[in-house]
Amino acid sequence: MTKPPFELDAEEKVTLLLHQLNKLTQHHADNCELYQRYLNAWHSKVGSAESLVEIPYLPARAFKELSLKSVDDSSIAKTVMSSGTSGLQSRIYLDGRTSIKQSRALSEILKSYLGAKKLPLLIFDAPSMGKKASSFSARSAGSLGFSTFASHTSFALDENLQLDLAAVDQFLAGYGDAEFMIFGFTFLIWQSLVLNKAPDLIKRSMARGRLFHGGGWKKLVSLGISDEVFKAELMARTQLEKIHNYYGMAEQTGSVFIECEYGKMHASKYSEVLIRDQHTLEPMPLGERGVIQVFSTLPESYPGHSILTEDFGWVEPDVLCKCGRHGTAIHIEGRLERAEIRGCSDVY
Amino acid sequence: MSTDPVNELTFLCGGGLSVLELQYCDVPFSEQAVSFCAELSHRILTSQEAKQFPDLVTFAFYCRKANLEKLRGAIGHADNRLGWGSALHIAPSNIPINFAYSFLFGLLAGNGNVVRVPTKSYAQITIFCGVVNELFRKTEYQVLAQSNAFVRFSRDAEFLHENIGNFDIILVWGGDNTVSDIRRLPRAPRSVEVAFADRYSFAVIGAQAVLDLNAEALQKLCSDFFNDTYLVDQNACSSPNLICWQGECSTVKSAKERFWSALQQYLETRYEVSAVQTIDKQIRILKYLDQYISEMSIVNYGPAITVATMNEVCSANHELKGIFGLFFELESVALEDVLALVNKKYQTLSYFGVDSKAINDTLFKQRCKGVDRIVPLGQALDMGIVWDGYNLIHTLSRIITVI
Repeated sequence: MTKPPFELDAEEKVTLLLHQLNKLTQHHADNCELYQRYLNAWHSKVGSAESLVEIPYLPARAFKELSLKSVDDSSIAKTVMSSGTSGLQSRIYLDGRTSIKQSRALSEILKSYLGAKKLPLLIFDAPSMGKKASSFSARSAGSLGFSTFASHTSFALDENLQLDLAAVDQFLAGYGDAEFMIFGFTFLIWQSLVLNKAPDLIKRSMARGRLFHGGGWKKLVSLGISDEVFKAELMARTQLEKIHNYYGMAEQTGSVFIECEYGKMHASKYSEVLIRDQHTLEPMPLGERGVIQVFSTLPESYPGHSILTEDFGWVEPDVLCKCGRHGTAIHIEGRLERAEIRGCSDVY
Repeated sequence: MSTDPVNELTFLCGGGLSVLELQYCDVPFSEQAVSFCAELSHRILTSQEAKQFPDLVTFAFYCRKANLEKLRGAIGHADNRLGWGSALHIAPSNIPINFAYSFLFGLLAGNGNVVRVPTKSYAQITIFCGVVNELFRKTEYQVLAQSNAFVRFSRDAEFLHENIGNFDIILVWGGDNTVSDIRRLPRAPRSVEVAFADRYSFAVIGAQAVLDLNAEALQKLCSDFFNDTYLVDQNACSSPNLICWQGECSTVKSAKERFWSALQQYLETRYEVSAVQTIDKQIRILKYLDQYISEMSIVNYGPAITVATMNEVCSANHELKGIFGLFFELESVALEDVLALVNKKYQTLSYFGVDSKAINDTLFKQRCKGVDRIVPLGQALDMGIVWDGYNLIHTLSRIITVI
């Protein structure tokens, strides 16, 4: 576990992951009754998977519809609620141990982009998102997660999610001349730095900043805004050059996929990706499009180490990237569409 | 005609709400109603456009003259009856032609009808309403044109709130939620309500009979099963959710293998599931394991066939609903034990390779509170004038006692 997050080659990594994930499957089967029932029903291999394909998974939606935890209620330190597009929220139960693992993993991954030194952080969200509580949203979890690694944290938006020009100016005046971090949800960044006129009012350059954004790409896709346009517009308005999109989910906080300097979202040693066929859910050959399954070695307090998302994409093989990192590169292309159901039951 | 889901009231054909002022009613199977339906049937059956819609053709075939005569003979003229008057039909939105049957039963029982058609625009509805409009223009159907209407309105439409209290009959299709929504509205004190709530259906299959089938007959069985289930994504009250295999253990094992494998081949060109639908199935299984049953054994016979075998009968059987190719099954559990579970949620029992009379006898012997239909596999979705335990001609008309 001591190796940095992107140094394992493909073969080392798969051996290590398989071992850790098998242990997690066994742990969750022993400690989460519903998970055990489910695995038994499917005759799944518990703790004896010989490849990632054989590691049983839960659909991400399971965390929205059911309460899944592998620890006693008394050990639960906090609950993360994800934003739900369908109205339902997922509830992720964290104990102290899983929480620390998540935080360490995120720290290791970020270090590979930022170095060991803590930097000032400007968060594109409301200040209330930085408040600690026992139950909080995935957005808030992201802000809290990043601020742990900051030497100073400021919030760029007010409580109505409007750009707080004074706060931004003050931050840039104090920290804008040296390296700093910016964090925010994709759509909030787009809305506050591109859609309105405010950026013209920001007098100072953000050229020394490094932006990490994620989570809100579905909204951008629905607006027809590509990653290239997103970057070009931001650069034109704020001189921000270092922009990293990331892919992560409340169900696997910590083991995020951050876009490298060459535009590849690498899996770290904490995570892996598998693509499944969009009809049969059979594993797909490398490079082919399908449904994304994500693995994470972090979740111990809930059975979320292997999750089938409803996102669509493809992967590039784990080879040493020009950026110097190892790790499968994941490409997200969108969300699976829901087909209309036939039949007569209560559709009025 | 608007093709969008509408917020406002749109009349597709007929006399608007004039039926509410007309004080119309007629005898069941009146001459004009029968001749109207027969002509409707004939025009649909001879329409080139209609040919590509099996559901529309099936409807037209059902209301052909000869069948109407048969129905009249069986249940039509036994009593001294008149329709109640005006019927409001609330049909479900995602079955294109259910509204037509509802209308047919209301008309044949002697009522004027206001029929809510699906808000979604289906070609079948356009064709059907086109033919109805042609007929309504004919002089001999002027009374029917005045006393019947096909209408689109949204579930929150003011129309519904303002007028539901004026109807003599309310027919609600769709399920528990729709039924309770409609029941919140103020209705006339003497209004008759026929509510088709959520029901549960299952199938009983004789294992030996499946093994005895030749290849062609096995294909026919698959096609019958498909029509009862996959054709409507199993999202119909009469679609079987549970298959009870009858026979010795080893016979059942071979029969199952033979049937599901053949079905898998049959499905290859006919049914495709998406990942989202497969995930829906996984979520259902998780929920059921959480709430109703702790053990089952699941086998995928193909991307569109997921079979969950239960070790024993479970009192919550009727809560376990299949969808997109998810089925539950019981192996070699005696019919008496299966029927012992039957409650009022149970609607249709589809059978293959077992004696329907024996099933019926057991059902009566055990005084089961549910199962309203015992039909051969392949006919689960066939609408009929007797539905959910109601004889609709009788329910939708009143009897006049003369002593």
